[in-house]
Amino acid sequence: MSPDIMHELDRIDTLSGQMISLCMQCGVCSASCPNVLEMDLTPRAVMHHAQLGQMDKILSGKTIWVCSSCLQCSVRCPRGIDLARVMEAFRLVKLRKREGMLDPADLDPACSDAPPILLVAAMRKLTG
Amino acid sequence: MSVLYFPGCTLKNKAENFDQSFVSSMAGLGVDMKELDRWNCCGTVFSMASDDLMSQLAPIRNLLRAEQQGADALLAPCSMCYNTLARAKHFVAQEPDRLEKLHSFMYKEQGDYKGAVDVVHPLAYLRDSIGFDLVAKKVSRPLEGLKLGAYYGCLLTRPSIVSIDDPQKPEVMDKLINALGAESVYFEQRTECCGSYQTLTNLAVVANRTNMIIRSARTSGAQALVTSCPLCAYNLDQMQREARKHHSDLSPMPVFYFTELMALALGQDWKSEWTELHEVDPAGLLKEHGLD
Repeated sequence: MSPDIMHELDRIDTLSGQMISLCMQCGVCSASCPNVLEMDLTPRAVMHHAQLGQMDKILSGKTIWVCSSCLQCSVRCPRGIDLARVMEAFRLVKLRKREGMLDPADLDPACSDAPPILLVAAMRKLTG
Repeated sequence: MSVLYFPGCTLKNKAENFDQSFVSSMAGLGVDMKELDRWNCCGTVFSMASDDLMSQLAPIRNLLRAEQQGADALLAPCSMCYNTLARAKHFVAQEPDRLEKLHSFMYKEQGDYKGAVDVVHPLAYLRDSIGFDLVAKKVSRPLEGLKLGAYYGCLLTRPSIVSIDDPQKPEVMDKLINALGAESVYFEQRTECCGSYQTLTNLAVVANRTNMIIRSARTSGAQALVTSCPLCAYNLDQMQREARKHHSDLSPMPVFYFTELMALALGQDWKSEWTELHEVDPAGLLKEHGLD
């Protein structure tokens, strides 16, 4: 593995507080995920690409945005990896460069009827 | 034990039915409870980044104020508030260094946060501090004949460190439902996510989740769902209309807050303003069982 890839992996490990290299690719995360059908990469595939240092594949895909942090994968991972934190770390790599941010101007005006819990949760999760 | 109540934003707004029924139920059970003075946003979603200390400021400031106001327990009926406050408490307890930095941001508060106040979800409080036996004794109008699916969602039981029950097999809400005289119905999707904040950016995800959850509950015989989260309630109740756009055969199912059912069973009247906050009108179901 090149030093660049090691550095990238290190950054995600540090930000998430997890060790991506521990993943043994069992797929319990993908089987547990309620939103997996909406994802282009399954959670297991995200971990695999991360282990191989293929960060662009993850960062340009849908999966990190479809993850709702429900933690079903995190409580079931037999290796004790909190995958929701890994997904959050990838989102933050984008959001801290001001990429992929939710722009309130793009929202459907009908959402003014939405409860504050929804508006605040989405803004906090999707603006970094 | 001194108990304070943390309502959070939505209970004072789109979920006033949750706020009112919670306050009146607790009074009906004889719990001496006051609202936390000067509460602010709980933080809404717990930040999972290792370096994001700033997001912990809002929840910790609430806990500091609860301590200063003499609370032993802070009751947070909204699942999201409960989860964020409880996880923030654990986050700062892990490393003293974190709290030191947070204190320097809270220099205008009097005194330091000591970590003494417990963040408690009312369902756990009902089980551990009141007891479901006593709740059942106070029921004057049993919800007989109602078959209800307890929807736990994510935030009451995950992560394990803040879970109010067994994370994989929770039963605390089922026990309350049964104590109120109704019948709780087990259904497969009861701990699966409703899609959360994706409603704003990825409505198809939520429409699919709502469809799956309601179908799962109905297949198991439930007539209505019960929740403790205003975001779950919004996705499962208001977003049924979105789900129906993709799944036209999905028939309506009412969604209650557990406190609405508690108020009703304790002999309090259902308020017409509460009905207005529901999209799927629960009045028909209640009338059918003589509970109107």
